[in-house]
Amino acid sequence: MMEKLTKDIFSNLEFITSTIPSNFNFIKREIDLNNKTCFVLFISGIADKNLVEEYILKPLLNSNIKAKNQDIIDEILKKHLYSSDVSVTNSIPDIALQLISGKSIILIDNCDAAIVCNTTNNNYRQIEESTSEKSVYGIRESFTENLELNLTILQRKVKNPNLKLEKYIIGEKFKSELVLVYIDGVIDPQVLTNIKARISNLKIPAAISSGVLEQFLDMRTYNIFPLSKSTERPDKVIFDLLEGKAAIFLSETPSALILPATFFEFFQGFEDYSERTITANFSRLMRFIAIITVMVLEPIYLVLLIYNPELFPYKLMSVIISSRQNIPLPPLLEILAMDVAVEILREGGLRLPNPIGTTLAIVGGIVIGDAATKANLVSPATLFIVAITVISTFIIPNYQMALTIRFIRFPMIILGQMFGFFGLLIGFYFLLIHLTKLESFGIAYFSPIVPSRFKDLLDAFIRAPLKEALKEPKSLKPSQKSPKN
Amino acid sequence: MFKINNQITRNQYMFIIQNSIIGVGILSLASGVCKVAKQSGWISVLVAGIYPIYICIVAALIYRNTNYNEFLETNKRIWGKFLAYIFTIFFFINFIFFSSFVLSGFANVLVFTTTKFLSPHTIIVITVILTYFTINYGLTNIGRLSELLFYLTILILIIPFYFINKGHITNLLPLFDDVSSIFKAVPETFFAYSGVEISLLIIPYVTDFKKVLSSGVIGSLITIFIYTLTVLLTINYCGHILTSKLQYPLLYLVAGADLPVLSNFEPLFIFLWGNKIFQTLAVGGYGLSYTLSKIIKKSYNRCCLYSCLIIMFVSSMLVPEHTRTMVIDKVEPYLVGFILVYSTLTLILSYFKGGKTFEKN
Repeated sequence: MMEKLTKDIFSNLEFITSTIPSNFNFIKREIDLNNKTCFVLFISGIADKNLVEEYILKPLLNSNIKAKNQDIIDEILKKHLYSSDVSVTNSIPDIALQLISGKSIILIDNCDAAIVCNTTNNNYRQIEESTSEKSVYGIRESFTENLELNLTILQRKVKNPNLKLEKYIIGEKFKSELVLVYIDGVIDPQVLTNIKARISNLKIPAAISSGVLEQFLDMRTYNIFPLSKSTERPDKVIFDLLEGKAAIFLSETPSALILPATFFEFFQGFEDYSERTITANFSRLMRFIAIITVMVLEPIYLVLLIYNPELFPYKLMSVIISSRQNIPLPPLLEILAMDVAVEILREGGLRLPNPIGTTLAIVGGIVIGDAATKANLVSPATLFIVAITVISTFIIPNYQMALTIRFIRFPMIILGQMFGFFGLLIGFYFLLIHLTKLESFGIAYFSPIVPSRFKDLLDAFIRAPLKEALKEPKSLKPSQKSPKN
Repeated sequence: MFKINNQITRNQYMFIIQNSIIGVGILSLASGVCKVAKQSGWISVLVAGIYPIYICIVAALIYRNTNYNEFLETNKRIWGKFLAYIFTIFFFINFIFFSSFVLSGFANVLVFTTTKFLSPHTIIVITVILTYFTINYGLTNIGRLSELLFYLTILILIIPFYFINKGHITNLLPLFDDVSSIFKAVPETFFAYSGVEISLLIIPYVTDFKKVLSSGVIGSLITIFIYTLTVLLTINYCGHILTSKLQYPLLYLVAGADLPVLSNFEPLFIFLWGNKIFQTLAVGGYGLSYTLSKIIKKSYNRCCLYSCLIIMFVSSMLVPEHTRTMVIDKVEPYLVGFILVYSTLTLILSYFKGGKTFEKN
């Protein structure tokens, strides 16, 4: 296959056409430039027709070109094209890639190079407020599907000459643009090398979303914990860039992927830094209590009911016994049935339009809970435990981590049913083994606790006064050895 | 086969030492010492703390004198090839007993407390599988886990503090009734303080050798503090007569509270302490697999599997508790004696055989 352009415009056209999918919207507009045949090529829709007409066709048709042969390209670039983003190429694969990215190509007879002109259609969704990551104090902007616009939002806010943007083309079946963003000098060189190496070695059929990309970046297929964070909010990205992390933007994706990520930061709300120290700490404490509740409340209740009822204090025991009278289901089935019902309602709520989804979740929850207790299928005490667990899941600020924590309670329930307290012990310790083994792009996932960086703990479980909490975390700098290492 | 990483930080070394000592012994320690030293039992625990401190200091000095070569290499250059292998086999046997005592004790305690419906053998099998997962990735992972679980130690310490006002100071008086009995009670603490021998194996894997001696000593001191305090609080709450008659006085102590949601602290304590036991077992399992891999010259991963099977088999033989106690009483003084004699002689010889003999390969 021919790789480079020749001087024969028709054979060039034929080869370019053969590399482009035979689409009806591939436009080949022929014009005459001072008795020279010229073709303007673009894919209608991806390229903006108005821009092509305004910036390319209009000036070229009204021009009086004097130069001959190769010089003609130079003259067109310097005198006749209105577009600011132009370049010259002679590679046919590159031309094909530019065409499907929305650029226009100007082919001229007797020239073995083509002009590439940016006419990408930027008719994307307007900047809106994020619906999935609402904030009380933060800015109202969120990312859109337009990569350039996302980067513009970021650059407008980070006025730092060290802000670096590196572009990669990824995808085997179809190509996507990926932009790696970081602040040079703030990010640790070792971490940056790890991220770049991972991107360069990425073998992904198609990067259709940041979630797909995240899974391909993580080499552990069956790891349930997210090793990078996805966000729609520019202020979150900026905050993480300042801490020494990198962000990945993918074309046609309205979110950025922040990496590396550690376990504890998934439980830090962005509002924590806007609130006063004491109230922020209270919120954080509530969040950690919620996590423990989600993971162990139901399993502990189950174990106490089945194997260790003697551990209930007498008064509590009498309440639970009276609530469980005439319940035919064993405690495991009771809990699992309610949990599965809640998960189905939640999943259904996600798929429905927003107001209907919320209504379904609330009404469904009330109706099913009420019906189950009235039918003596579930005891009120069990319903209370399940309800507390479900409400606690909403307090986890990150959706990916919330999913993981919600999932963990199921194996814990099964272990509790099989081995009682010993089962809970096994489950907890197994989680610790897994978590301490994990690394996110060279950073220990359980840092700053393991390895211990005591100063970084000021923004892990607690949120110290901002002066301390906003210091660059040492745990994100593996190349700067701690004195205790 | 998994990729093994053995590098640990100085902090991790400290936490490994701290973790390796705390085990099943903490539950029955007060009983043993009170039988001999009565209300002064906690002083015996404090005095016996010299053993882990001594081992940590000697291990650090041996490796300092011998240029931080690996355990077997150091032994070969000090003792010659034959004796080096003999000593490695002794260490291997030491870790078999240590791990099996811990595991069988753990199973016995669980069956005695919260998990009455399970057979101790089931507990042993499941725990061994978990131990295999912990040790199979090498010392780095054990170091990280030790670091993490150290924070649980603080919680373990907080629970007995709940009872600080519940006892009576007269239970601890007179402080020194019979000084000789205080020293006579020291052998009762041997099992509780065993596990520290791991320092003789792992120091070459610490990334920074500076202050490795103080890290070991601090790790030991933390455990000595915890042991002394728990024994002190137990005697303060129960008195020495009741303490000496109980099998697990510390469990009796934590079960003595009256709480609103759970009837007492026992399940919470078992949960926290159980995690420490897994970690102690991991340290023992690592020592066992490490020495086995040096003896039979097979890969560490494969030796992990063999070690776990050995621990499982020996632990099953040590159920029920009276069998285990009987074996500990017979074996433990010899093991401690061997470690003390070996480490002292090795330290002396390391001073004599200094210089180029120990240049790294």
